[in-house]
Amino acid sequence: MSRHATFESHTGDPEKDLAFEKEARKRYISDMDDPVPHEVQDYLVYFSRMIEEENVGEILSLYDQAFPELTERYFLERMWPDETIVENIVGSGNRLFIILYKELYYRQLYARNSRGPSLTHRYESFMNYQDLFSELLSSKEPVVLSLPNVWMWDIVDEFVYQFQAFCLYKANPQKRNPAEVDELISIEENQNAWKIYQVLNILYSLLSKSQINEQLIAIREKRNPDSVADEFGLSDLYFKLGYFSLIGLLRTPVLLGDYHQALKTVENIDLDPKGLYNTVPTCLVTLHYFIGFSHMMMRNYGEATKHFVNCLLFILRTKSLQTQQQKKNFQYDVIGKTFDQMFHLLAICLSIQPVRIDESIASQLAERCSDRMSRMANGEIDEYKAAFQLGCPKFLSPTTVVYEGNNQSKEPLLRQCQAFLEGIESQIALPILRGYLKLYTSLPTKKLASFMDVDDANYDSFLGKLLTYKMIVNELGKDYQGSAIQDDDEPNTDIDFYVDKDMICIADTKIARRVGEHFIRHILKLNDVQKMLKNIDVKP
Amino acid sequence: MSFETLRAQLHEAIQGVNRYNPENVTELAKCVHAMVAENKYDKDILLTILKLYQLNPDKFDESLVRLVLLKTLMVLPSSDFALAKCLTDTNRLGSQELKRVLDLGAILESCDFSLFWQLMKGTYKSSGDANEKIKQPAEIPKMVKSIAGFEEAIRIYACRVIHVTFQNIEKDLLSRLLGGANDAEMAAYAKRFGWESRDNGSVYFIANHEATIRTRNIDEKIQFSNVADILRSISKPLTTRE
Repeated sequence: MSRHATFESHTGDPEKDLAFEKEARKRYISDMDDPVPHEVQDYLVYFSRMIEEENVGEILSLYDQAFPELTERYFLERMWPDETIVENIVGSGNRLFIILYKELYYRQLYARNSRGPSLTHRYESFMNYQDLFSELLSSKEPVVLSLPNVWMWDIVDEFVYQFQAFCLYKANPQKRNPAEVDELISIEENQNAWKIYQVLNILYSLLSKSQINEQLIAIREKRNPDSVADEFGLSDLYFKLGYFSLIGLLRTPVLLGDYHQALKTVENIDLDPKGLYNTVPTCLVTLHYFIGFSHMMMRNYGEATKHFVNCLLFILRTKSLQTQQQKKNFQYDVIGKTFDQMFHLLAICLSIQPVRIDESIASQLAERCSDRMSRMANGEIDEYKAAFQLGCPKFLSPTTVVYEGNNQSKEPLLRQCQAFLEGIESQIALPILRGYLKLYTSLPTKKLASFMDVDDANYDSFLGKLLTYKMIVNELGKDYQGSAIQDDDEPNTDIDFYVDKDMICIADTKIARRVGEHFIRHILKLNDVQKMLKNIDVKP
Repeated sequence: MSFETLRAQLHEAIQGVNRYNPENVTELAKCVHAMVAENKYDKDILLTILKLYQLNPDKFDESLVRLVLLKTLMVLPSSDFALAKCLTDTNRLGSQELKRVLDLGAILESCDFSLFWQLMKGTYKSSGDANEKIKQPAEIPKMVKSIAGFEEAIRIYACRVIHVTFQNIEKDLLSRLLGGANDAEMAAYAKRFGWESRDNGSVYFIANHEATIRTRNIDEKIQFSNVADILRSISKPLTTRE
């Protein structure tokens, strides 16, 4: 019998206070038909108690490690127990725990069905989020609850994800059976689940409840954030939920094609190592990806490149850690997926505006996309299109509901793609131009025009290409305050030019390989290894 | 009501989640008209109304979207036009009128000032074949003239890109890029952007790019701070003899 296997023995937790758990278990020992394994019962009871006691450390390991472990052991073939069973096990006193448990429960449902959960489950999950947020938002005083950062981020992120999934579901009639069609009609008529206004309302309420923007501004101006916060803003829970909601709200407008609003939402988040987003890897990756993507859509290719490269570097550095985590987790591999997407986007940005980037990223990029990039350099617009579609997020149209006929969930993507390509078409001459400029130190404009098969009548139009090139390289379109990433005084482009009357004067910058940096890194590494070796006791 | 009054009221009304309040559409539309008439600009208001059209398709007003897109073209090289395009749905873009604005946008985004002025002056010759991109070229100047200050905005845009591209520019070329600007007009732009007339006025000196755009070879420099960690990790500190 598994009844002796207590939950603690599996996590190696030293918690000695088992009396409570034992008592809870006794209630079920006689019940031989009980389908829930004892270990899971113990887990739930203990989990509920830790939530009550606000033991964040324990909650983290219960959430992050024990849950996936138990899923693997008991719930690969079937679902976790539903709420009534769980209520029977832990008692109905801890309402918040039940809501939080359901949050995990529905997330599992979403993660497991490749075709997505049923409409009923989508609806119920929304209701559960609404319960959770109204519990937090309508309380007269701050709710007593402590959650680990990663869970808070996951809540916000999953909430936005499920909204996204619902929009795609609405636009795709092929995902439904007839009964669900009726159900969807009634949901749409009553406007009571996953409407864009509801979702935005909840996220914005979390912002205002926590005074997160005011507090972040205060922190940036080196004032005490507590001076602008009320009891809710002072609460760790609300502060962090507000903070993560900002990033959730960055994602929402991007999915709707609203890039200016997206960047405005996170303008108070400083990108530095002290930011809260650093504590949750998926949050860091999401933040950089969506900021970078917004810049790319606003034609700030240089800025986008910086964000992508920084994020890729972070993922590379922490890769071994992430894969360990991934094995345990049943969740969608956000980091791995985003990693691939960012290379496609980086290929686009660098083709239009080449800049020098970190060597490890450059070599990976070459490995993955060098063929595509050389075709991009020849001005093949289809290559840009393919890279865009591989790298972009899943765009939405929140108002599209399709009851029969074809799947229309791809429409918003096509729109964004088209808008992007129209911009690229205006700039498609740039890589070609670059190819010519590389070969000269000075070149008469007329001669370049003849290389590009431009006749005299179109000479002025041809000059437009040179003007566009300089406009892009000088980032004239940029009016958004750039990130805190500092430029060194080295020019970023390897090729630049100016026009003196009818002569193009070209300057190229050659950068020597950074040998010193390489050695310094390896000396430090070797030092570490030697230190480690010294500490190993070798017995003869 | 004037643009400034409307703007002041609206900025209050579109803060935070209220940005998505469909009840603002009427006021926002008024404000866009005021912007067009008074040659003023406010990015947030323009993008907000597009957003509301997107979320509330029943309120969609194509003529207003056209105005918004044209207004965003006036602030090139800013990316506002690109942003506005992303907020307009595919199924709306089929109409001839909207298509015309987008075509104009493509011309301007690729800095083809020559073509733009040909269209404005009615000297553009349609090739007549099926691939001809610009249908009914006569419609473009009609559309543009209804927007106060549009041509002037494009001249400023041209000046800005010329400023970063040219060191010296021949006066004839400058005049052509500015849509046939006369000497006095060019002198005014030159003053505004700090250009100097040279060689008896046949050339404008724009900026000394030669000083900043140079061929360079950059060698790696190792700063003391780069090796500080290594020095620190040398185990035994040096001692001086007593």
